[in-house]
Amino acid sequence: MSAETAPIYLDYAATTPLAPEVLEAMLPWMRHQVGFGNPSSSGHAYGREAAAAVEHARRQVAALIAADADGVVFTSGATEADNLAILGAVRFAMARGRGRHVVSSRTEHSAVLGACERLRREGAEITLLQPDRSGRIHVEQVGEALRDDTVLVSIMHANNETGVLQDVAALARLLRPHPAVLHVDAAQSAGRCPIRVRDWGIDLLSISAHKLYGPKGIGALWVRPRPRLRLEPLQYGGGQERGYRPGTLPVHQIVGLGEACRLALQDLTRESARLHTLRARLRGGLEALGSVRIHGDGDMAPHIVSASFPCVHGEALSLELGGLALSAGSACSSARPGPSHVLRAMGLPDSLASSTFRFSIGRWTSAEQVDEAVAAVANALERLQPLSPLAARWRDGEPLDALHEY
Amino acid sequence: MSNEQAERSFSPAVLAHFRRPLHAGVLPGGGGLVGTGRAGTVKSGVMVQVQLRVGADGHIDDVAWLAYGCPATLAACSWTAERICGKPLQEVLAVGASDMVHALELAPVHRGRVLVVEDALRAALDAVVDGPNGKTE
Repeated sequence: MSAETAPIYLDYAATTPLAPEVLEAMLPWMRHQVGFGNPSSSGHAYGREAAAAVEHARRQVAALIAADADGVVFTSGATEADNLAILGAVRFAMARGRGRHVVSSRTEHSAVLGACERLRREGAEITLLQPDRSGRIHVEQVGEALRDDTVLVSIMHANNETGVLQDVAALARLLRPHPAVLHVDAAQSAGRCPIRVRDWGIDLLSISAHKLYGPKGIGALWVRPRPRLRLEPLQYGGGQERGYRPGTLPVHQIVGLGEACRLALQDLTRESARLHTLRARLRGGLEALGSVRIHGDGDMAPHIVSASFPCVHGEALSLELGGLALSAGSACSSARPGPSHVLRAMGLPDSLASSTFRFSIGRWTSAEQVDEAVAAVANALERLQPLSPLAARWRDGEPLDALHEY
Repeated sequence: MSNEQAERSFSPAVLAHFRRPLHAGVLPGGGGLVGTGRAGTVKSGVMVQVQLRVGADGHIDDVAWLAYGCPATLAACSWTAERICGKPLQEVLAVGASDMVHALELAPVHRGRVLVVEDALRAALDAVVDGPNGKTE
């Protein structure tokens, strides 16, 4: 991929490029002379310097989510954080006979659904809530699903396919009188939307560095330290990270996550506003093309537009949109064939789900790039729609969803 | 899937027909015997409509197609239309999915889809050959 032929990157929800500042912050901790110490080696300066860098990063992570620093547990990413939160909390409760019921939703990330599925095989009961057509879970639905033996509620903040935001602050309020703990997957929202863990009363929160211009391979689970929330760990070893996640800490990765969080917090208000404006431009541009359906409504993350293009086949459109780096169909997991579970849960016919593309914008997206992307989609539709037997019927007034049920 | 990967999974012949499809559209009314054939469903990912106009001399005077499908399906429609236009009916009756697979060097994953193109072609041929004077649309 040379620079001239590089497609316009519109896949920031999949991953983000490393911020140059983050790379600079990480480099000293990978050099031979300094920075290689094991943070657990408190007996010498090498170890103590590394430990200080880790603690500094811990405070930077906590600041981004307005939480206490001693709750931050470093993990390999949001998938591990989700697994540690869900498996850890429910296994701990089940082993002590405190309950075995979990409430989550059909539109959660695969990491959450996968962990819930594992728990089901271990004897837990899982209630997966059905979102409304806009992708939203209502607080009352969670209230109705709660039982005396509910030990965990796991609801994501921003959906990774549609950008739909859930009202996790209201969920936390609902759960305050209930013994169940609240886990929030904030991989997409951290650094893009304000998060106030302490004020809202969230118990467990997952984040990932590479979604916010940090390195891949590092993330964090925030675990409520007071009163101390206990988890059954996923692995056993030297007791690092208060025993929640043993293993020698990857100092350079942690420093990278910390710096990424610092940058994100510093620019949060301005960058979020800029992205919201760009997103509105993108959404409006696509809507003006006519035969398009945008998914999700109401309170949305600032960086994602999920759009279906009826009448044309997803693979044909995908080939035609080669100048754009997008996620197609089942965004987020190219290993998963078939339609997306998120769009299915929102009531979209499978054939329409397969002509769905996720446009996600970020720090280096410009208004010009957004306009170019809209023009590329317009050209592709203009070329492909005349080939489709559905397009004529749509113009004759048949509803788009019905056409996709044939 | 990146575009480079996408392009690698299709042969040059598929890409050429996909980029410049021939005979796409609907036949205008009037003049000659027109047969229309349809096959496939949107839900299965392939839906094809083929129209043929047969002249008095028993040749295919004109062809038109519309398709909802992947690039290989669209290319198979375009290739087939080009292959049969101007040819005598007897010759066209022998054209089928295996010709499309061969001519377009289709990957195994795409072979099933062009069977739908063949079905639509057969249905259109049936309409002109067997139908009560065919159907005039």
